[in-house]
Amino acid sequence: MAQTSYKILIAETGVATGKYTKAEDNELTITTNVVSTFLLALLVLPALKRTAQTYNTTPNLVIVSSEVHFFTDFPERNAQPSIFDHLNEKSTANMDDRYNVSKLLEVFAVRELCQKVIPQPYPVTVNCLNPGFCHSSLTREMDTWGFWFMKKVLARTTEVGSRTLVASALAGKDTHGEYMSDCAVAKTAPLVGSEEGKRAQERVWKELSQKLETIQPGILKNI
Amino acid sequence: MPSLSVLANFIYRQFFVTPQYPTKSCEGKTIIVTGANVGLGYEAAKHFVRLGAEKVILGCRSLEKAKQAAESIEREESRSGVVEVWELDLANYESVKKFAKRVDGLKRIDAIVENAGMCLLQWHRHPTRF
Repeated sequence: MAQTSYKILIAETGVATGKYTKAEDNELTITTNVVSTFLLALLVLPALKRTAQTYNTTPNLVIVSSEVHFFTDFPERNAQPSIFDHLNEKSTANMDDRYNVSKLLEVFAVRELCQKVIPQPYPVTVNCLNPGFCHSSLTREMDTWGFWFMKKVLARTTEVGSRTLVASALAGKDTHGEYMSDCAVAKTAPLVGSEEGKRAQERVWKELSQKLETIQPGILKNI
Repeated sequence: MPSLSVLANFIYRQFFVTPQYPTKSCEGKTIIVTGANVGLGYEAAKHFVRLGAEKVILGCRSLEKAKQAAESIEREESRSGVVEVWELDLANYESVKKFAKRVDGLKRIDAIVENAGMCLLQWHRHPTRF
């Protein structure tokens, strides 16, 4: 497994072109942001549940997603027979959109897990969040006035952005299954709540859970 | 491309909405933050330490960088023996499994903030991994 290194490509418009790289059985972004993230999530659920029982608390499992999930139409949602296989196909991979798609898949997975899979009530609160657009997201190399404006005026400091992570980690049961933004429960992208989105969400979780079961047989029993 | 209303909403929130400074106590809690050697994860871990957490675990790919982060956090918050660094590489399933096994061995785990992953570190730059 290679340590990846990326060339800095400064584009005048649009999002950076990510290079396609594989890690484990998927494209790198999908492996790290989606598969491994939920592999870890399901693997630590028993420990979280034990803490809940022993200390009479409700621990939190937090996935840091992003508002960039609004920015994608997720065209891969209609791929047959498998969404993940299509995402992993190098020749058709849209790497400009890949980060956005990975963040959308995180939102889908948290929602499906909490809405349909996890029994209610549950001793652990599972939520996801958007940290907002932070200084750590911006490069010093951007010289255009537009980016100067964004950096000086709009971008939050990283410390301010981190408050959203802290809030989600300490939030109550009312945030279970929710997407949070600016430390409060917020609406997800229109696609997510739509009929199309619900179908995509189901398919994504079905494929993801099958993948996880292959990586760690019996893992779904952790829920 | 995001719609105009999405962009307008984003600009409004970035301009006018500031998330509140965290004040809730984390006393007695054990909290894990992945991707915590820099950026959001680092700052979040620092908050948890400041808020009195008993143990804050940084899950990072580079133990070297994570150790530096841990030392920096404890120095800035004038606390010691709170932050631990554990290796975690999300591009490797075995690494994830090992990390989870370590979590199993903890006395308690009150929160896990999964912040690590492929991050669009720069809007106009190739994604970088924490």
